[in-house]
Amino acid sequence: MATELKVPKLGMDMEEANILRWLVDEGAAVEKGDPVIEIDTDKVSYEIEANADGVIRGLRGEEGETVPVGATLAFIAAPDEEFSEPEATVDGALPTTESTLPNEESVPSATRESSQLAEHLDGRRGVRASPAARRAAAMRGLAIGDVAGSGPGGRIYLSDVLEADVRQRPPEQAPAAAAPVVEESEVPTEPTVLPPGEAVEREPLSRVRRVGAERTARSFAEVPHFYLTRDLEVDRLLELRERLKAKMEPAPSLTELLVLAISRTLKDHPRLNARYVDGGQMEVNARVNLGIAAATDEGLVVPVLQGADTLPLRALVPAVKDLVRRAREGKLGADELSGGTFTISNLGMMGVDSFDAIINTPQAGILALGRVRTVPEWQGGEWVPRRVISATLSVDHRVADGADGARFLQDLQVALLDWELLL
Amino acid sequence: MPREITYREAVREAMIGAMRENEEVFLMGEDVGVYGGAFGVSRGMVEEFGEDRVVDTPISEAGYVGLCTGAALMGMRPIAEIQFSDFITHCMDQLVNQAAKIRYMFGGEGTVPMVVRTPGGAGTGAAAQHSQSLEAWFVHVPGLKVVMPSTPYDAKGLLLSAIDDPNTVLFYEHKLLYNRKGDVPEESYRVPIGEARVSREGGDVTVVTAGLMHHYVLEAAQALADGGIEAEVVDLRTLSPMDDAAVRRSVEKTGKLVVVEEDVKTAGWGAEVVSRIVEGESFYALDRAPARVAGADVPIPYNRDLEAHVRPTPEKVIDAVRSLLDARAGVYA
Repeated sequence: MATELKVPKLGMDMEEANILRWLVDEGAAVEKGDPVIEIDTDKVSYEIEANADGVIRGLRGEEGETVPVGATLAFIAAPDEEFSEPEATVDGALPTTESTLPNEESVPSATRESSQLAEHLDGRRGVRASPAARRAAAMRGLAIGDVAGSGPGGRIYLSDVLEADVRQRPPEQAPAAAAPVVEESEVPTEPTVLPPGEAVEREPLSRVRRVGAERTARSFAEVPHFYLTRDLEVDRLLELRERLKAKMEPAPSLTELLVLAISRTLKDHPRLNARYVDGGQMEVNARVNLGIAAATDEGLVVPVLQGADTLPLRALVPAVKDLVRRAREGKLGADELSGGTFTISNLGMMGVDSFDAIINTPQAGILALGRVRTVPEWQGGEWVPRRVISATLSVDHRVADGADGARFLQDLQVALLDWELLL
Repeated sequence: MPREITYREAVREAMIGAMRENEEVFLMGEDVGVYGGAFGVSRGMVEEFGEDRVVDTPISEAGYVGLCTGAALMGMRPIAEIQFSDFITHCMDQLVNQAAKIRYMFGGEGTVPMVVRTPGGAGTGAAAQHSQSLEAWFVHVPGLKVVMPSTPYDAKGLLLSAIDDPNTVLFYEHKLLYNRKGDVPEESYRVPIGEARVSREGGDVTVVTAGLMHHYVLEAAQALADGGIEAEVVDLRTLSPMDDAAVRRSVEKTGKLVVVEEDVKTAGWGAEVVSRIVEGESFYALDRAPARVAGADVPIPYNRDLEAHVRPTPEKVIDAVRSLLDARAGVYA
């Protein structure tokens, strides 16, 4: 019997994947381990390998399509096997009894239906929306297919329609009466009122951005954030980097030195390396797994440096460089994107002085770092130049207070001034 | 004047009130006389009304339910007590083929104004033959009415309505309800048959239930409210005729439906509630697939742990509501 090739579950919270590219065609001969299809999950691209020797049969799902975890992608049949397709199942469902019958000339209609059903589920053809969502869309003159669904596999709930309805309404202050109605050619059903001379283009968010949108919205709504901002003097740190440039290959960047200092300092501040648990508890993480926010073309990705507090500098520097590079290429594994206990985000190289970051739940804190600035400091009766970076710590107030955060920043400053304390 | 009495006392008070008002009303059943009923519901009644109106019978459900059917046909207002609702199996012919059909087949020339009172449900360790919830059977028979009050107030008011009603009414009590207390006025009043009651208002999910389960649902609703989920609770009170309009009004508001019933899930009356909501216009009010919390499809086990395992509980209701509202509801994997 043919072997089924399914969408694997690559991470705890993975629900679906995009089909990036088929690497084989229907009927192609494959060996176990050959790459068959490239998929794109929340944050990684991944090649699925053939799980048996044979010939690709019943290939389904088009490039660019979104498919749920467990959906059938193809079958791998023996070259001489007479292949009948209806064995397609969604994970957990048993094959229909009909499918085990010999494939006679007249296929039982139930088999055909079940195969169509499986195809429907797998291929996500057509819109999936709750009845209430459909009614609300019809009443508002919205095309249901244009509403972005927040449910699994993009399922549309009533709340999605209500949101879409609010979004499509013209802003109150716009001179709506005088404005011409501009019809978008690609979205024929949804007239949008616009100021003259302007037009909007609508495009779907990438997977990374969609996940990011949901997570940041939830974090910002649910986690009570507070922010502590202070300057960290980095003269000593910059000197250290100059010295190490000559001695280390690859040479450490400012970010990597900060990663080391922050990871070591966090060990002494368990409340910031913790998570809030519903019901009034907190879990303190024994290790520091440091998330490092990285901008990519697809959106923000946060690779995690596992066990950052224990890595010696010589191992840490190449590890961070490797993580960030692969993050930009979308080549990280699911385990490299999860399990973080604290996150840093550095926008200094992009000229930002300071900023407030949104906590990467369920972590308790995130540190936002700005650019190196030179500021005058009144010292011993004269102005002396000091090089500083602005650090803003966002903290989940349910697990830590202002004083906890302030002590952490103070210890971090001490470490940056007296590097040897970290040894 | 409001005062707290038990469900058992409320049922007894309704019977006593009706018997004092109307000489045609009498009670008949096994051990209802001197013994006061297996669950003590008719205690003291034989002393007031005598053995002619509180009649002890042999173990013969088919016989005395048939007798009551005939008496009702001749203009009396009998109340038959079936000691455990499981024993109703003995009188299916009398109930289904006779009592339910006579008014129809004789063009309204005769009616059967009989009430069959009986305690159903599990939770008492009484095993498979004394713990069933078979009320859905009678919901399936046109010509019978089925009520299942959950509070002492409704028990008294619905029993008086049932005695007034010209049709045969199955009046489902529950062994675990008898000791529950509630406010009941001393005077006579009626709760109309066929009217559900919203016992708790909420906007997030509609939970429809009846009988003992109503109390489990209220408990669950309180716990859910502590977690920020506001459940609207609809106590059907009458299973047939079913007040689906009340359910529909609530679902139009919440978009979500959970039915909680003690009988086994397969072909239980909860399936009827769900069907009525999904087959009409109210389908388009649903924002999630409806769910049922019901007894497992097995005989009630004698072993206490197993019995608890197969019955609905407040925790199961909470889980059902939470998973219905989970953003991931309906994931295929």
